[in-house]
Amino acid sequence: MLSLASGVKHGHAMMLDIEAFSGIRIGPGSLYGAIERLERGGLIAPVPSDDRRQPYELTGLGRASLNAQVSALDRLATLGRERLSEA
Amino acid sequence: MSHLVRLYPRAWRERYGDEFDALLKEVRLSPSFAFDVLRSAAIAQAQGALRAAVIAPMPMSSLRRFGASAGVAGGGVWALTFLIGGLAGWGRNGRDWGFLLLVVAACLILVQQVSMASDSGHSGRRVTRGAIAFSCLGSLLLLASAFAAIAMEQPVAMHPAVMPPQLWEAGMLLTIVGSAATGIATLRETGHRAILAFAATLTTIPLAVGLLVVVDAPTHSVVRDSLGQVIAESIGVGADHGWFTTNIMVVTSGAIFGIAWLALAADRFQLGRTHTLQPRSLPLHDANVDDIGENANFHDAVSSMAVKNFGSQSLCVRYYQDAFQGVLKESQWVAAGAGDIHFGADFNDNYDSLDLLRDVTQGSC
Repeated sequence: MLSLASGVKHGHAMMLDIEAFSGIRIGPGSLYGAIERLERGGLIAPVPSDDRRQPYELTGLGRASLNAQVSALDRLATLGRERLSEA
Repeated sequence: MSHLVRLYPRAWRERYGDEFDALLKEVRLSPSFAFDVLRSAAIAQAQGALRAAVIAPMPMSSLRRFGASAGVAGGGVWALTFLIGGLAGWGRNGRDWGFLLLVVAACLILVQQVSMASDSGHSGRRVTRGAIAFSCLGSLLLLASAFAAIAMEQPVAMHPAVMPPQLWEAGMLLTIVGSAATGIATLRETGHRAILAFAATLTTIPLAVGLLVVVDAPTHSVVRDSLGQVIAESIGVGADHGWFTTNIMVVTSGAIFGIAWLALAADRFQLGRTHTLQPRSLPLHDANVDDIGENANFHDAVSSMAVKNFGSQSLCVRYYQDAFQGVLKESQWVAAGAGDIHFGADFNDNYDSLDLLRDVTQGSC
């Protein structure tokens, strides 16, 4: 979802992007497992394309969900920093 | 298509196979990637099998219990009437008791039809409305016919001239058409439930016999007896047994019809214990602003949709959670303060949310 937050991407582009920002080489099977779950949840959606490589984009709900998760992580990170600085 | 893609379930391949194959051709397939694909294919196969047989509790509503009881009684009475009537040799002049029993059975089956339609949220569909309308009219004609038959034996008889001819047969036909339509509607919703699909199909069988009876009646059973003779000769019992053979056909189809309704009703009881949820088998109210209300809390909106569709909020929550599959659990959603999604003025912006609601309420998540 974070990979799609910056724009429409197909599978290979997502793999490269995820590797670039996280250092994790996600396998094609794992990637499509995630794509299937996210699409079924209405969080991402395929973008019409003539290419065999199917691009995907975040839906409105997906963007809201990602925002919620990032906010929660942000609060957690803030809390962690505060507590570490207190110690 | 790559051999690796063929390891995935058919439904998965139909949706993702082509693009996944394109991805596999694009990346350099290292041993770790090949293992990743094998592992994911195994998971997809397991999930596909599980999804085909998801067992979830579905509380027994009083409406469903009432309708199913009526269906069991109606289907049972209908089947027994035909079986006992046939075995006892009811004739064209000696089926008065059968008249009344079949009228009662038709009315009970009608109650089950209405219950099924209302309970499953299909009452607004054209085929369901048609089914109930036909069955209502059929039951009314059967009722009128039975009263007429009784009245004509009384001193103050209902004058035959005011009664249309073959009222009984017309009532039977309409009842069977209505039931067949319900069977077809049920068949379209049954998904992979073979037993239910089979029972629904059986409700349509007597349609041919009913048509035959009605078409044939004004011609003094010429077609019916002729067909009976053909069947009698073909099975070697002689042409003289033509009417008898046809009667067997009618009795058999009548009994099958009753048993089919019995099975459909028994299935409704089964819903109270476990229910194999299939995407196609689940009812769906159209998600719209009126249903959900403006500025509704997302969780409340999903819950209300599920209550409307399933009569069960717990079932909804289960699917709601399944929908996110660990990406975002219900508690996280609410705790993160993202629970308020406005369904009013910015309806279009939230259309994807409504799509999710639709998926959740269809159980396809």
